[in-house]
Amino acid sequence: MKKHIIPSLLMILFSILFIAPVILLFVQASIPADKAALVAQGASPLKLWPSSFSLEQFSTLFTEHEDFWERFGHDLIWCVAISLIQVFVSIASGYILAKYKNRLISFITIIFTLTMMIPMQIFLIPTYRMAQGLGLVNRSLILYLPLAFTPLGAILMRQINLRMPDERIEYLRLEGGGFPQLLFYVLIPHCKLPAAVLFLLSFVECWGTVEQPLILLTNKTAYPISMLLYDMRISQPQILYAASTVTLIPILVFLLLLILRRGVEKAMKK
Amino acid sequence: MKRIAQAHGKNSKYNALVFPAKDMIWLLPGVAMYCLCYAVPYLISFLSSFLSNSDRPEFAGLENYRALFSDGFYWLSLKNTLLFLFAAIGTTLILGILIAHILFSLRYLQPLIVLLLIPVFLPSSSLAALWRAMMGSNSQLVWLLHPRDASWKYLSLFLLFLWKNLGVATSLMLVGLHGIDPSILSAGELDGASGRQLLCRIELPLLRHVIMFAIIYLLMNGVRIFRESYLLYGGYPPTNLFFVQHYINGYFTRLDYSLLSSAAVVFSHVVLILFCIIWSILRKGDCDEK
Repeated sequence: MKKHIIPSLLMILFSILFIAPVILLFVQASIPADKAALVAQGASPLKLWPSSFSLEQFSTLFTEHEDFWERFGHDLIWCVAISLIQVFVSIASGYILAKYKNRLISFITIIFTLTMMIPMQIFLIPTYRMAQGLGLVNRSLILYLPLAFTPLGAILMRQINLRMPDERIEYLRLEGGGFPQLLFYVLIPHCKLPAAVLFLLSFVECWGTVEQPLILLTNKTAYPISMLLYDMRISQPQILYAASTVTLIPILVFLLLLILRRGVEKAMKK
Repeated sequence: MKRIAQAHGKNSKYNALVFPAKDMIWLLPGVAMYCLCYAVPYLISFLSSFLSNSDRPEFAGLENYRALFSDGFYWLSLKNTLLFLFAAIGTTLILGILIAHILFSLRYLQPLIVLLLIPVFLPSSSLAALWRAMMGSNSQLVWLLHPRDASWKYLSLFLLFLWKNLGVATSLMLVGLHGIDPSILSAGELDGASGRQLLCRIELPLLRHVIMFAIIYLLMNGVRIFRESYLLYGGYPPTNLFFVQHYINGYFTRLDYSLLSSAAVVFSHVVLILFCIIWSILRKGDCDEK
């Protein structure tokens, strides 16, 4: 036991390094705005400890930046909606890809897998030209629609559904259930945790989109929250860290719920 | 009920009942969205790479490709991107196996995997502000390490990739290690295999499916590293970080669709061919077993 102490400690320290950026971000968000601006502009080093604690950045952000909050709410609704669509479509396609075996299905599986590794730009530029033809440039629809389906989601759900026993589907068929019943009584309960992870992944992808707005949006007023943050580094460095923290909060809340829920489930199993 | 029980030999009747063919229609939403967002744009890119760039495009044959390959910047970007992918994915895989081993042998540390996985769920845009300060010229890291500027920027992006992707690589390897039958390893030990032999001859071959999955995931995130590069260094990065995506975005602002389509087509095919080579190497093991 004793010889394990040093590797264990090293491993714990190493793991803490992975969440250190989040903690440091919180620290930067809780120092006075003028000091935070210096850090954001690279003129002074990172504060490792909030020696002069103040919530000035947050109060400025809350009181003086209504456009930020407007954007925040707008994007939040779009991202949640898009992620929900993605989760449902992925579960349905993942089930078919996993349980049906013929040439067409294996062809689609391979094509999806290969598509994951192709850079976005090749798809985005024709999308932009199509949007131009349809007069949809600078609309939220054209920004978020390409995110509503990713091959990753379908392939992930396929891997999960491969491990589902056929007997459950058999039982449902005996009860006379069609596909909607299958989806709600068998697939969703089976894929609950992976679906939650996929929802979060998809939400993060939408929330932090960079490639898409760069190509699909020509008007800076249509930029989503992620690009807004990027522009704030020059226009409003004094509240940059508070704004970054605020955009992390929806994700951290969901992540915490996920981890706690998983902990509870594990405890119940024991 | 009885009939189904009898039909359990997975014959066609059972299949028709439990997996009716008409349910395949539910693949349609996914496939339709795939066509709209991926297949059709890809075809447009592919076709326009053979057309001239004007209001009334004409068939230009391989003219765009000739122009592309005579452009030194394209070669530079291709070289940089592939180099980065190789280095980053290789390092992540090796570190992933190493850490998975540590976590596998010290089981009480396994909850730590949650901490390693958290960066996967953090959007780069929210943390970019912090990274810029952390990697900037006044940061504590630079004081400590005294790096040279160009290589430091490269290293920053490299570390960022590791930070973001090591968790998934490690957890995949850990799942793979748990799937290995321990009796195989102890049999190997009995036969006097050294630790290195156990790793290379038993574990790695048994882990190859997991490694394949990890490579797919890492390649996917590797070609998306442009996002982090853009957030850190903007549209004009240092020369050694000038990626194909920067090249494409540069031509996009000049509206030269034909050239950038051919650039994108060439790059995606290079990535796919590399992937197929890796795939066939790993698949070779499957055939040997049979």
